[in-house]
Amino acid sequence: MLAAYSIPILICTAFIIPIFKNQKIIKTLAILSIFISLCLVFLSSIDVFYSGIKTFAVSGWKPPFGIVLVLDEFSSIIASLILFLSLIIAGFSLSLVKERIKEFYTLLLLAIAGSLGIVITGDIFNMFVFTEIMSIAIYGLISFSLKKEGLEAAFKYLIIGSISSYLMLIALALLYSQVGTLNIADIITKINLNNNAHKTILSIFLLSFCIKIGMFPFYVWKPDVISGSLEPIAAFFVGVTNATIIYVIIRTLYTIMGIYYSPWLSILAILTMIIAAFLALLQQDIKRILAYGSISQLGYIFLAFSTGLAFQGVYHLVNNAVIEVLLFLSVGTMLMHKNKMEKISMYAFLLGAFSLIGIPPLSAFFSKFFIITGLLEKNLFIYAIISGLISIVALLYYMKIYFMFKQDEKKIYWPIIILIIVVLLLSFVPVWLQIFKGVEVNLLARNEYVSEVLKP
Amino acid sequence: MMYIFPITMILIGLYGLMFKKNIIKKVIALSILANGINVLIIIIGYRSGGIPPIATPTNLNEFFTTAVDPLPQALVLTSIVIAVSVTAFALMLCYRIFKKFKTLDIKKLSTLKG
Amino acid sequence: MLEKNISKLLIIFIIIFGLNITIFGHLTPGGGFQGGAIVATGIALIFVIVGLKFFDERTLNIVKGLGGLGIGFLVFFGLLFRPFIVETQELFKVWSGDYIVFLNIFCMIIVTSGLILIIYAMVEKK
Repeated sequence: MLAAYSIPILICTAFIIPIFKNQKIIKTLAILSIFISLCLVFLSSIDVFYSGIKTFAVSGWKPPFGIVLVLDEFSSIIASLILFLSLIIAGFSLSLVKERIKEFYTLLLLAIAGSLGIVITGDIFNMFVFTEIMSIAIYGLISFSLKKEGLEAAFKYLIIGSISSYLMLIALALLYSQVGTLNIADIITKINLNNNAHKTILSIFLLSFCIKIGMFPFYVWKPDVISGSLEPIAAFFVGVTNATIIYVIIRTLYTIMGIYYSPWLSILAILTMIIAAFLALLQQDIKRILAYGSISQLGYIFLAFSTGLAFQGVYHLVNNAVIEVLLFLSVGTMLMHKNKMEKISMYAFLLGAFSLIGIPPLSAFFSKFFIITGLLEKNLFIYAIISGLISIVALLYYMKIYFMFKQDEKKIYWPIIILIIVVLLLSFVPVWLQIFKGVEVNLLARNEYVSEVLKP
Repeated sequence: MMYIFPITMILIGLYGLMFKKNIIKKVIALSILANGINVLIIIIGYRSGGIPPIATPTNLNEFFTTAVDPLPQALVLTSIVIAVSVTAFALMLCYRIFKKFKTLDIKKLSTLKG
Repeated sequence: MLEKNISKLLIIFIIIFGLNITIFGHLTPGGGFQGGAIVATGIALIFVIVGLKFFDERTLNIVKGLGGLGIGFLVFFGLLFRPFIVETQELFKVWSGDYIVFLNIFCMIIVTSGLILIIYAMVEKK
């Protein structure tokens, strides 16, 4: 499987970069390695979509005893998404980062390698190791600017991220003592959901990731962390890291536990959506409003997944990741134009904001529309009405940001133009409907996952 | 019954992390938390009357019947490395915070509102 | 003066002890990370004697990079060719663990240079 080679490529490049002194070589190496990884993962994804789940046993040790890398349709969509977004972010920070370039690209490559590792692996302890790699690299990136907000944000995220990682490790240890194996497919065959111990342990596992992503009672640290970091890093944090943690939560909920409708998670998701939207109206700082907006969109994604609307959830996940990166990068041009927004980025911001609010022919309108009609079909009328109302609140706070902008002259930034094109492409619904319906079929098929991974 | 030791360490680590105001004490408490979890993992693999899991060609039968589980010990090796990296990074961050803010008290660190 | 004389005696023992723990990592407890930490302690004692100018920072980065490249090549080799890991090793023989020995040695190089770089970063030059 080709995608297995992308993790060593990223990590080796991260080790080689401190040797060089020439800035151009470092930047070229970093972009080249991310691009090669994107090509490898993309080719593997096309292979997976044509012929089913692909596995790769590391060093030949067979699945229940060794580590196995698994690519099924859901993993391949998320892996391609995070590599594409990180290529865009690395391209944008070429012109932004002027000093201490070695450290920036090393940390960025390690964070990307960690996120990719979480998505590809099929072994639960390997997932913990890659989560830690990604977290340590993100702690370094958040504090990169060495200003007061950055350092404080990094310290807050370090404490909270470490607590949630160690909670995950406790759940892992207890799960090993109950089940006796660490391979995800093997855990699925041995888990019995009527057993209270198994239910509790998997709930602790889910809880640790809900803390890490910022769901309802645990969101207090997130706006501080996002507003304290540089804009490309905030874009990475909201786009890539959110996508990988949502991947882990959905993998636990749908594949390991087999729960397709979870009332408690949907209540948490609705509360996240409402409270984050109203808190966004009260803020004065641009990045804080965007942060609360992203937490509110997370509520939509989890509402879709926890009521069984898998394909709508995946579509909104992809839309949300791309649009949030676009929003943060377009606000990031303010750093290079002395606190004024550049002209094309302002229109890019409007495009992204209108899409997330739900203006008809744009991409996120379709995903929200599918979510609301899906909820109406399942007779969850209150959730559907609340989702519609929160979109109107989203209009209010995104317009509040827009009127805070001051305009500057025009300059073309290629990453932003590429993202505008991708956002417009995402609104061609029939193509994405086919792909994501295939992903949904794959997500709901637990037994095929187990039999493909564990075949002798 | 042996689980009382790692659980005590975890609780002490959590107490220190929540209630102490000096950031270096918080980092030390984080390290105690990590090591408490490592001890928990090792104790999970214990088998009563067990021998250390070293297999030579002569004692294979004893190894399979009475040795303690070697897998949690491999997990703990990785976990110790990760805890060292996090502690090293946290201490460097404390150093930078001290140079910028001139204080180590976490109450004085909150410049971000809300 | 006293600490310098004692350190001169101890450094060579500590470094050899660390190498021992690294190379026999497939037989006795230890391996790459533990051996690397011990060798880094030994080299930190050199700083007590000579002062911090012993290593150039660029050299350390090159060493760390070469260690990383070594591990990377081994991983590629492992992913491509399914290396043969012996199932029961014989005691007192280094080469009975075919593939693991190289992993341990390169891991020691990376960890040593990394920890010394951390020491450099923590000490501010006045």
